[in-house]
This record gives sequence, structure tokens and C-alpha cells, in this order.
Amino acid sequence: MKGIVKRFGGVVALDRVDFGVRPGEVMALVGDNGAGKSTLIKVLAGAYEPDGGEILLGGRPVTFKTPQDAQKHGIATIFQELALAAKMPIADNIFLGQELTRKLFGIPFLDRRTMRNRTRQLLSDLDVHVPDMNAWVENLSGGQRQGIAIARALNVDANLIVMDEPTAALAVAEVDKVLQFIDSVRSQGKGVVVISHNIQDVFEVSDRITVLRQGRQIGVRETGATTPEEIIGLITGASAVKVRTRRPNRVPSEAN
Amino acid sequence: MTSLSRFARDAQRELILVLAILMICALFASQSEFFLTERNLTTVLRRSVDLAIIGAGMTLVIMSGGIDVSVGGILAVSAIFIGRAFEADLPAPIVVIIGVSVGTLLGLMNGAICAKAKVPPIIATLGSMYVFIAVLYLVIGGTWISGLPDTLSFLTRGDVAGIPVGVFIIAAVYGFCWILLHRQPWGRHLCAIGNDEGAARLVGIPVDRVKMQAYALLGLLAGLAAVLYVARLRNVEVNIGTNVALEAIAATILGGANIRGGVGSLIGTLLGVVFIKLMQNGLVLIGVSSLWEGVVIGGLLVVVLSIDALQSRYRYGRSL
Amino acid sequence: MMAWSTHDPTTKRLFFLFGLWLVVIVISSLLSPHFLQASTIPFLLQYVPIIGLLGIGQTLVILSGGPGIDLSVGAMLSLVGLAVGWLFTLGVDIYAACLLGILFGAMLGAVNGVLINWIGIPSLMATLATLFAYSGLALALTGGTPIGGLPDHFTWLGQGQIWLIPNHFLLVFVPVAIILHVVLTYMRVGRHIYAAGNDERAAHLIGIRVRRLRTGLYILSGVLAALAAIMNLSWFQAARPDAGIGMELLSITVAVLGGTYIFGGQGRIAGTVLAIMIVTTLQVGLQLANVSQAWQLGVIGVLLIGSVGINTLLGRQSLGQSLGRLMGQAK
Repeated sequence: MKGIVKRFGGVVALDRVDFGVRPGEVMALVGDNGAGKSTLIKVLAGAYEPDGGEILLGGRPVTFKTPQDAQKHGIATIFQELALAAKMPIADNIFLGQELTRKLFGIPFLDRRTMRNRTRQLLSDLDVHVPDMNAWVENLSGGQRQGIAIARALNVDANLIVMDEPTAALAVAEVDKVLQFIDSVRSQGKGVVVISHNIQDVFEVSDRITVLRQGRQIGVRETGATTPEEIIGLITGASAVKVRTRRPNRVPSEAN
Repeated sequence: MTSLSRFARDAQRELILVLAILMICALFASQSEFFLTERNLTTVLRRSVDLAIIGAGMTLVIMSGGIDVSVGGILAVSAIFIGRAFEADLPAPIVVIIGVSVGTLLGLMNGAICAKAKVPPIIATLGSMYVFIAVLYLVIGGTWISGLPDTLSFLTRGDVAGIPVGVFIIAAVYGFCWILLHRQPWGRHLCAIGNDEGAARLVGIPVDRVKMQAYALLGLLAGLAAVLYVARLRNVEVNIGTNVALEAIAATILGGANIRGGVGSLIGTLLGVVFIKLMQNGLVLIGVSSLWEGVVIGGLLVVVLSIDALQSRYRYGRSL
Repeated sequence: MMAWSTHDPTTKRLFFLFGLWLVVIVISSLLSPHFLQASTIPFLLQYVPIIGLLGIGQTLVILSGGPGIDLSVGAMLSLVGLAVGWLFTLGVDIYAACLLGILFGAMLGAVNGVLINWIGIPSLMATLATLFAYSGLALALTGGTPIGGLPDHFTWLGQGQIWLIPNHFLLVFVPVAIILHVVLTYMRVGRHIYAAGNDERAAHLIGIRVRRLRTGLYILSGVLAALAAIMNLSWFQAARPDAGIGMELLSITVAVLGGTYIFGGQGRIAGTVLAIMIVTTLQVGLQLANVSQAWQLGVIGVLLIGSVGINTLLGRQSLGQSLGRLMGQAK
């Protein structure tokens, strides 16, 4: 993503943000509240259209008008709010927006059997256990719901998986499962973007880290080559103090 | 959990309604020997068709998180067009098409105001109801449209193989709506919108389009109900459609729909319609003023809603 | 706190409403030469208090959020009117009957409050159910026939005038409106109401008893409906079971037209009052011009939809930004 701009009314949420992920790498996206992380990935997911800038996949520019566009290009997103429909069963949620149909007398009908089987398979792949396949999503635990949201993303044949705060509301054991899942996706050669405010998780699982602050991208670091302190400094802007004094018109008389 | 107890849990509301219907049937039958006669029951059936088909559409709209209090007005305006079409001697199929089209257009208008102009449905349909009623008064005013031909009355009075035509109409409408809701992606989208509109948008569901289609469908069914109404009564008068919206909403909610959206039952709505119509009929037959029906419906609504609310309280321990 | 800055969307709303009222006055005087006379004013003010009280009650209910709404106000009006009339026929002194009627109205409102806030039924459904129940009761208990025979000396409230201003306007509506405006704007309870409507959870965390507050407002709605019923009785000298039909929708209309945000947290009594004046002036203007009442209905419907459309524009951003957005969306 290059130079992405997004405005809401008079507020500039994203100010010419550059952001990139390579296949087979886990890129962490960090920043304080309001930095623009969720907005950026919603642009990537096709939920928002950027007001400026472009998105490039494999070097070629693409535009997403709807989330289904993004999915067709191989981007699967798991939103922070999970975007699940509470009073609907698991299979319906996993296939929301991507329902499978089969034709009967030329009219497409929902192919519920295939969707149910696929749901069962996805859940067992992810090691998510639910008491009842027909249960409404709202009756499940936070960890199970996260699992279903992940299953929905997996259902999209994706090359890039984007996760917004995947571990925020989970218990320790469930956090582990999610981190393992991210590892396994990476080893399949796909790219992963993870938004997290948990620096520990970030350092445990990511290869590179991008920092956003107040709508601007202010740095990309190799995880192995940086420290939590430096990242936190970038997030909060402590290091900005150093940057601010180096104004061009304050360069000492050497420039003359 | 055995499949029987699961059925009882899932169909809880419908079973309560069946029980309620059986109870009032028993009550009315004991006080009036005319109540359970074939003649009486088929009359009730024939009179229920309008409310039933509007109820189906209303269920879908309420499930999408919306509401439409203007259906009575849509019915009225459609009826005006139908009446005038009859007076102009247009052939029956054309009249039907006109009636249904007017209804669909008005429903679409409601949908557009709600979805595109972002006006809350209660306000939008309140406003459009005023406009429709105004149109009704202005066109009909003191003079009814009356003496219309009975070319279409087979729809309301006729039988096919001994079963009133109305049964087939209801079956067709409910069958169609059920397939739409449970066997089509559109229905899943509708449900999701009623559950969480933001989530539906995030997964790429065309929320505005689906909402407008739901309102348009309700309008279509209201137009169809107008056709049946005019066919049955052969006139168009000022009071047409006054209670239909509230009764349809009541039937839908009795049937298990949640006003916030996302949950609903077509079978339940149909049972709700049956309950309301049997109630109206039975009260008259046993000599109690039909004016008590409002109290009974209101009372049953309170009971049913309270059970619902307390159940979810218990399940989720809501504090506020 | 409530400074009259022109950037405040609610103040803009008031200006808009005032302007709209002037427009209606101009149109009415164009439609009929009889409009611009001194005698029109008391005629007009006569209609204001009943819908006025209902509208103010509705405003407060909607303001407190939830979302809150009271569809049963019209039915409560009918039922309380019948109760008072019935008590009178039993021999109870008319004024005592009125007091009991107010109590009765409070009880009816309390039913709503409990159903919505303590049992947890959404307000639209709960008040729909009580609408059915109350209006059904009103019809059933009277068989549809009004209770007449109220004493002549009782009509001073509804039919009398002081210096050409109707009594019930001056002695009931104006004080009630002023008191409630003061409470809403300058007292702590008022702040709590706005808080509950804006962010229920935050209000709760601050320690505001949201449930009690909302229940109280539904009770108030019942009391105001009872007052309106009494004024109705005094005006028409009879209690009709259908006295309140359509009033609930009208009360919502004036509340929303007056700038009350349907999900709570935004709105002013002044706005509602202006909306009532607009609607009443329209009604009277059309009446005097012999134009069918149907036009009034139609105009109100359009106004209602339009005003909320504008509300979404004015309420959340400046007009300029909104126009910019609209144009930007026209791709």
C-alpha cells in the first residue's frame, strides 16, 4: 500500500501511509489508539475506499470496491469486532457473504450440506470445539467465537491474512493457539498482518513491525533488530523529541 | 439433548401460540356451537388472507431491523389505483398488476428513505403513512369508490378442489418467503443485517440494497392484499387499512420476532395471525364485544414479551 | 453551558424551526384572509396544550435513550379521560376525580416503565402492547360510547379565557413547559437525562440510576397524558374512548420535528414547542382556508421525514461539511 489517504469528514485518519507485507512473513502493525491501524486494514480489506494512494498486489495496482473484491484477490480479514452475526448459527457465519449455492431448476439455492461439512472440517483443522454445530454464535465463548472468525478467514482461499487484535480478549491458552495458528500460516508461505497492542505477542510472532502514529507511518523495523523499548518509543512519540529539533532551518551555519 | 427437546426449545414460541390457539378455540367452542363449524372457520380463513400475507412481509422487514407502520397506507393507495382501474374497465390481470406494482413502488420508496436517507424506519414510515393517508382522503374523501365488478372475487370466495383459494395464496406467499429467508443467500444477508448492520457491511453484504428489497417486498404483498381486499368488498372506503399495520406487527412479534432484528419466524407470524383472527371472530360469536380483542392481544403481547425478556436476562445476566 | 453560539447544531435547529413557523404563517395568511386576525391567536392556542403536553412527555422519554419511545400516550389519554368521567358519574367530586385521574395516569406510565426498564422489553414493543391493551380497555369498557354529562362549571379550564388567551394554555401548558425546560436545562436531573441518552453505559458508571430515571420519565409521560385528558374533558365536556387516537404518532412527530434525536441524548423542549406551533398553525391555517385536513397530514408527513434528514446533516457536522460529503458521494 502506497501513500494511502483516508478522511472522515474533517478528520484525516490516514495521512499518506506506506505499508507492505511480503509472502511468508508476519508483519505486525502497532500504534496507539486512534493511530489509524484499524482504518488501514479496513482499506486493505475493501471495507473502505481510500481517498488517495494505491494498493499494489504483486506489483500491480488493484482497487477494491467491496470486501468481496479483496477476498477474490486473496485477502482475508478478521476484524477486531469479529463481525459475527450473534443470532445465527456457526455455518451461516462462516459463509456470510460467501455463501455456496447449487442450482435447482436453474435457480441458485443455498448448498447447506456442503457448507455444513466444510464448517466441520474448518473447525477441526483449527482445533475449535463447539458443543453444538447448530448453536447460535452468541452462545459461544470468546475463544470459540475468535475461532469461528478465523475459520471464516481461512475459508477464503487467501494469500494474505489480516488479523485485528486477535488476542485481545482471550485467555492465555487461547492466545497460544492463535499464535501457533499465525506460525502455521506463515509456514504455508502466506503473508500475515497482525495488529496488536501486546508488545510481547508482537515480538514473539512477527518478522517485521510497522508503527503508525496519528495517521502517519513513522517507521518499519525488523523484529530481530529492534527492542520493545524502541518500538514503544516510536508508538508514544518519545523519540519524536529528538526528531523535532533537527529542523532544516535550524541546521547550524555549516550549510552555508 | 434429544431431538425432541431440541425441537421444543427451538420452536418454543410457536408451541406457545399453538397452545394459546387451542385454548381460545376450546373456550369459544364451549360457549358457541357455531364457532367450530366449517362455515365459520372458512369465513375466518378467507378474512385472514390479507393480514397473513402482509404479516409475511412485515416479518422480513422486522427481521432486517426495520419496521413499517405505513402498510395500511400502502394498501389504501394501491386499492385506490385498483378501484380506478376497475372503473376504467381494464381487464382483471392488468388490474392486479397495477395494484401490486403500486404497492411495490411505495414500499421501495419507504426502503429508500430508510436505507439511503438514513432516516430511522419508525420515523420514515410514520411520515409516509401520513402522506398515504392524506392521498387517500384527498382522492376518496367523502365518496367511496363502490360498486366494483366481481371479476376477481373468485380469489376470495372461490374454492379449488374444495379448499378456499386463500389457502393456496397463503401457502404460496409463505412458501416463497420461507425459501427466500432460509434457502437463499439473500435471506442470510437479511438476518445478518438485523443482527449487526456494521458487521454485515464489513463482510461485504450490500446492506442498503437488501433493506430496500425487503421494504419493496412488503409493499408488493400489501398491494396483493389490496387486490384481495377490493375483490372481497368491492369498494374502497376511507377506513381501509386502518388497523392492518399494528395487527401485522403484533402478529409478527407474537410469532417470535425481535423488534431489534435478526430473529423471526414466518410460521410464528402465521400462527399469530390465526390467533388474532380467531380471537376477533370468537369474541363476536360468544356475545362479548369484539372491542375486548385489543386487551387480549395487548395482554398476550405483554406476556410473551416478558417471557422473552426475562429468559434472555437469565441467560446473559444483563445488568442494565 | 447552553450558550447561544451559532455553531451549536441544536441552536441552528431552533432557528430553522422558527423560520419554518414563519413560512407556515405566511402561507396560511396567503391561503385565507381570515388568518391574520387577532381572533386567530386564541383559536390557535386552544389546540396547543393537549398535543403540547403529550409532545413534551414524549420528548423527555426519547431523550433519555434506550432507545425510548412511548406509543401508548394516546391510549393513556383516552383511558384516563374515561376513568375521570366514570368516577364523576359515580358521584365523586370532579376535582377529586381529576386528582385520581392523574394518579391513574402515573400508574399506567409506571407499567410502561417497569416493562421496559425492569423486565427488559424494548420500548417500541412494550408500548405497542400497552397501546393495544389500554385503547382496547377504553373501547371495551364503554362499548364505544362516550361518557358525557360533565358539569358546566368544569369547562372553565378548557373553554375559558383570560384576556383572550385560553385558560388551559396559560395555566397548564405554559407553566409545565417552563418548569420542565428549567429542570432539563439547569438542573442536575436534566444533565442526567442527556447523559443517559448519549451513553447509557457511561452514565451508569458515573452513578446515574438510569433505570430509575427512565422509569420516572415514563411515569411523567403518563401524568402528562392524564393532564391532557383532563383538559380534553374540560373542553369537550365528555369523555370519548377514542379521544387519543393518533395522538401518539403526532407526539412523536412534534418531538422529532423539534430536533429530538430518536436514539436519545439530543433535543430541547423549546424545539418541541416550536414544532407544536408549526403543526398547530398549519392545522388552523388550513382549516380557515377551507382546505382539506388531508393536506395537513401530508405536509406533516413530509416535514417529519425531511426534518430528520436535515437532522442527520445538521446534528453531526457543519452544514458545509455535510454538503461536501454529499457532493463527494455523487461519484
